[in-house]
Amino acid sequence: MKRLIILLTLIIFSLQFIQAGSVGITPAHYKEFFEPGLTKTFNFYAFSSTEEEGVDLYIKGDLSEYVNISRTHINSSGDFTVTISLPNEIKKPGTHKILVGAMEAKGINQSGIGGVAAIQGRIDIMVPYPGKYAESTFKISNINEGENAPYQLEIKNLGTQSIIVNSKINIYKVNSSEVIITETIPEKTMEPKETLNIQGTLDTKNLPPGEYVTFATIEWGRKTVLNQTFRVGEFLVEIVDYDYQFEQGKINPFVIKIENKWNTKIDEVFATVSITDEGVLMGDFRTVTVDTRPWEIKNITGYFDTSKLEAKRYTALIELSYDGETTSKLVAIYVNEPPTKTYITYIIIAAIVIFLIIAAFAYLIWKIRKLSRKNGKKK
Amino acid sequence: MKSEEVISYVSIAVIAISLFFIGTELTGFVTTYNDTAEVNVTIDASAGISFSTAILDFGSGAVTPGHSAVLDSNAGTGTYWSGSNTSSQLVLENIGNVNLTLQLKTNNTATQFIGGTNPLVQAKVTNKSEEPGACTGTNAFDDYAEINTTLQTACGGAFAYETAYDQIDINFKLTIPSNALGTRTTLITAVGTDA
Repeated sequence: MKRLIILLTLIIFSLQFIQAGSVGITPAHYKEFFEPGLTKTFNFYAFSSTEEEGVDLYIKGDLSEYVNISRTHINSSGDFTVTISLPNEIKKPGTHKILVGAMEAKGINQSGIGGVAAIQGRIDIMVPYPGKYAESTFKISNINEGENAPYQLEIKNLGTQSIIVNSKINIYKVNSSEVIITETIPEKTMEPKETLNIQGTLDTKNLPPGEYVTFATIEWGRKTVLNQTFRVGEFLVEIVDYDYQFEQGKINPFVIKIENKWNTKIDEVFATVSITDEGVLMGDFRTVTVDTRPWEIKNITGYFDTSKLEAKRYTALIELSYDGETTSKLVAIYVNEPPTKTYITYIIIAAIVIFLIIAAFAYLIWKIRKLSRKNGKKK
Repeated sequence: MKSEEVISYVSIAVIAISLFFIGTELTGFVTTYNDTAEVNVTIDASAGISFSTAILDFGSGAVTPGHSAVLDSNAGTGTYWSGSNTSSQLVLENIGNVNLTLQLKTNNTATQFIGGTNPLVQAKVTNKSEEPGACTGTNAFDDYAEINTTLQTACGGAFAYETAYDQIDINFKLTIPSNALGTRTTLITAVGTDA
């Protein structure tokens, strides 16, 4: 009975470690501009699945000496505050990151490697750059053909002076210098600490499927150029690669690499493979059915039985089916003899060659000796 | 007014009123004016990670004398090791709604964890199968690399939060010298930071 209790206790302890150990923090970040002597309190909420041990809270990173945290430990989940009391001057301009961390406060009571989760939120303190200074980000999304491409351009005046901003966006075909589409954004005056968030769409409805490069040029006294590629998708699942060497006399995996070229998921994709020899159908099989994410490259596998096939070259018709559409490829594949048979053939050939070489040498030696004897008798 | 006349007028009124309702029936459908209502909700950014498999136990065994055992959880092999092989790993998931950067460290050195002469603890971080793209950017543990007590970057680009690809495997390779002994334990801390 005592043993049983000990065993059960051990199992319960083990299960506690096997179960998910999670930790989280919200909000994930705050942003604040530096002001001399600024005092401000930020609210956070931390949560964890480790109820018994709870969560340890901590502060790390830049400016941590100016930060106070209301609690350093919570049980399971709870609110806490972080108060910053900044000095009158921070010499280094730029973003200073205060990390607000929550870490599972658990140990490990069995052998092995245990995982402890820790998560860090951020309070970013932006110290303005002297004079004119701006930072920008630009994002453009992949689309399907016939759609307009949404973009997002964010410009932050991070200097101590106001700036006049002129921006434009150009789209190029990859590896081409020809501008296909231009979008000009009206001039805008930005005060220090101001953030300009421009969200719009580019007229890309008539662009054919393919890859494009977008350059966003932002002029604010200096020029910033940001580039990002985006893709225009077509409703197509393409056969990218496939297995073509197989071993005779067994069931071989037949792997086909496919690519979803559509900016939306395409579900229930499978391939049918028909093997023919000079127009005569030798066999066929179907692969597993898979779902594909936008632009995903994925392997699908079928099984090719070569037990009744000769070792030689065949033709395979790979037909991908998805959502009422098909993509096909006619390819050559090779069924090869099993390696052991090949090795034996090599060994036999090598033995014959060696035998022939030895025989040739023996014949030459015999011939030389015979000639020597003849010459000796003549003398 | 005679009672016959009253009855006649009432009858006419009933017939007239009834005419208004010809073709009208209760349908259950309600005709409404175009009207709108607004529902607002603000969802804050939330950062979180979870070890869905939080322990990796290599079990017990003995090292062949004169050799160092090498236990590899990714390959599921163990050389110069009498115990059974282990092919499991720690599994970490981004359970929040923001991309994170990820760093890893141990709470003790290889010598403290394993003991003996020249022990080694190596980690390897890969996307969970069927979840490509979960971990992008700089990865010090792209292939097996020594893990130590200082934070090393595992997913420098992003540890993604999208459900379809938000899980990674953390495998370990232990080199256990023949003069190491005892039940050994170490903790791996995974630190996710809002990217």
